[in-house]
Amino acid sequence: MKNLLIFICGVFFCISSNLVLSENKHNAKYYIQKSHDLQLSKDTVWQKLLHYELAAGFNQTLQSAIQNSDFFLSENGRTSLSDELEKTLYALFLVTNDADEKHAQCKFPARLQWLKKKLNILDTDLPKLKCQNFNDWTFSNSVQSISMIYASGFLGNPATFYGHTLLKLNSRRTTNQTKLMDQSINYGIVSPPDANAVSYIIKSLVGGYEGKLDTTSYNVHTRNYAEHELRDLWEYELNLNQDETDFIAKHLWELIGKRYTYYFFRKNCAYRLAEILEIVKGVETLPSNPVYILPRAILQKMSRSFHHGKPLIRSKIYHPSRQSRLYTKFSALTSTEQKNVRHIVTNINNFNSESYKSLPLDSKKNVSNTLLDYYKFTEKSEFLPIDISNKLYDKSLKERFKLGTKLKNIHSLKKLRAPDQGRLSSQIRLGILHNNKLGDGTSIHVRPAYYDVLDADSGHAKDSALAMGELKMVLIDNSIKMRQLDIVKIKSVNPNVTSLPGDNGRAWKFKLSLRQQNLECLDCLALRVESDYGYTARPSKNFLIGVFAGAGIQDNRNNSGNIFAKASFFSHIRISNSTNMRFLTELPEQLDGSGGGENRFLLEVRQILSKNIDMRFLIEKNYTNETSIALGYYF
Amino acid sequence: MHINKIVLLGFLIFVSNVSIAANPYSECGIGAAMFPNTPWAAATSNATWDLGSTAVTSATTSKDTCSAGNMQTAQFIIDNYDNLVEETAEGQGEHLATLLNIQGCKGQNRQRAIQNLRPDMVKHISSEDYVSQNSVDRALGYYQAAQSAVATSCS
Repeated sequence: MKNLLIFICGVFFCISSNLVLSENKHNAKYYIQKSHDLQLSKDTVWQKLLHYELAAGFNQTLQSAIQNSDFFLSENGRTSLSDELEKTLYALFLVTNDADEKHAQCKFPARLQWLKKKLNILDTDLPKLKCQNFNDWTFSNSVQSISMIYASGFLGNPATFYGHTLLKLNSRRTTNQTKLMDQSINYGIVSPPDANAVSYIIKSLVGGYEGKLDTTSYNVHTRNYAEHELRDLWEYELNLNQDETDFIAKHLWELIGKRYTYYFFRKNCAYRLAEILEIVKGVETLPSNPVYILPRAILQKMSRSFHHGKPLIRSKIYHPSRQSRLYTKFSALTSTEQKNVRHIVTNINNFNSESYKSLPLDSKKNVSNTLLDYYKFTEKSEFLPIDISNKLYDKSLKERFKLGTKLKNIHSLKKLRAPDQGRLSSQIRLGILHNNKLGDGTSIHVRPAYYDVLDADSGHAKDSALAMGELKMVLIDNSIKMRQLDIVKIKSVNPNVTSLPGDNGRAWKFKLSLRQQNLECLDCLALRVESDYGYTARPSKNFLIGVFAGAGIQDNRNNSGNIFAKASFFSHIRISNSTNMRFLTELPEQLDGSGGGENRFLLEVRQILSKNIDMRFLIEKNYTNETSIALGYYF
Repeated sequence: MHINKIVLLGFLIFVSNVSIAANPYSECGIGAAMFPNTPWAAATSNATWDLGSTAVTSATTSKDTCSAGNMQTAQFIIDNYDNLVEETAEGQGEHLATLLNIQGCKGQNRQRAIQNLRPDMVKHISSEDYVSQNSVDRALGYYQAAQSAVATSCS
């Protein structure tokens, strides 16, 4: 009887203890079953966390864009959402003697956060881990907001024509961190250092390179972009709550070192970083354009978006480049201060002139601060030999130290329009034309991106041009003919704001195009590539004149010859904030063939009608005269 | 005599704490690991690549020289030397604030540290060999001046 009682008590104890265990401690299997019940692997957030997208090519299956096998816990993780979900849940619950850092909880904290929320996973069910590396990276989980950084375009490097974006994790300023030490995440092309320009361009267009996500302190980027490449930076802070901010920071941790196939036009830096932000439900960052994504278009999309009923962009901060700081400081100088800067520069840093000595202390500080920016700027333009430039900089630095700290009247930074505020990037233009030889017709002009010398906007290089795939057509006598296809067109002009030595108006052009040989022929398409080098001057703030000398090769059509040289003169005039114009004269000379090139004259006026609408009036002469007026719409 | 000994001892403790002679560019990081007996090669390696995140030290270096904080300070200085030295002349700026943050110098102490740093930097940039110094030597001069200023002002 006694034994029976003990047996019954024992059985009861076992059952009750099992019940307590199952009530308070669920294991991976329990949550896997729950995930199946909820069909969680089909959730769009899970797909985004694994970066699933339609595979390239004809086989339109869903698979992850990430190529690293260590991003997946299941062997089929790249192609099976459900297998990866199951393995992830197993791994999150795994109790192991391995180092914490290798555990799924430390490697995939965003997956953990999301699964805990969706499956109501209790902390008590999971093994406790420290994840020290992640804590160090986030400065003890102190990320309080996320910013997208935009670096303006740099025409010296094809990979950065359209600007660049990166993400920054803004730590709480109560920690020992400042903005410059915040973590940043960059997606960049991985290319061999010896790749030549043509191979580089072609491979980056067709997916011949990989792109990789890396992390580094933000000051590395401010140094590279703002100081070395002289590119302005804009910071867009996102209006996300703490839970959403943590979610993105954790997912970025999962992605460090991960590789994708890089495509210059669409799946580029802007796309990859913007899609990461979209793991937060309701956040919209990607424009709907199926062909190409420009960094600036992402900013414009974000600035139009709302999240939780508030604008997605909380704040915008401008970080001027060394060049912009020089221009701002120089423009703010009094004429006497400017004269002193010019005198010191042209007299090899002579601070002993009576004019300089008689300046008030603050003026001297203004002058020496401007000189510091000037010498660092000219160092980049290689105007002076580096050792001379460094010596002159050192002399200005000593002078600045001598003058004491803090300027009373600090130059306020010039208020520039943020890149998202400008017009949209693509344009279609329709117009009517009269050609003295061909008669009346309609002009059709499509430019997928980006800008010309008349419509360069915020975030673009002023007085410069950048276009790819720009198509000009005419409809005459019920027949549509291609006038010109600019496959690549780049014109780079240094703004030359100070006119100090070294801040010169060096300019260059490159164009690869298919174009009619002149205005009177519609069946004379010829492929041509041309390059020019020149110089500009700015007699006044709104008036630029320049000269180019160049050469090119082309199809020999109608005895035009294959090689030509040309001189050109041009001018850009800004009449008002909404009206500007340009004038161009081209004087070509055929170097072979029997046909001589005909001079070309062009006058174009642009009138802004609204942010995304403009009107252009054009008079052109090349064999014959043509006049047109067109209405343009940016989209 | 007794007082003199105390003063001397105090001075030695101060000097050892602020590591005036410490050179993280040649004594720490990957460079020190690769070229333990060739300081210029170690410094060149560290300047070309970076100091690395691991506190590698050469055999002759004190542990403090290559602490994570000092390594971070040294790296930040060599990376941002121009901005730092210009802001030091100005007496304020984002890079200067960041440097003092890394070194844990806060509040009112910061202004004192900057005031102490300026005269040392004037000496540094006015020295005869400054013109011929490479980026590592220049950064080292700033590093030592900053360490000294922080030790004096921010304890």
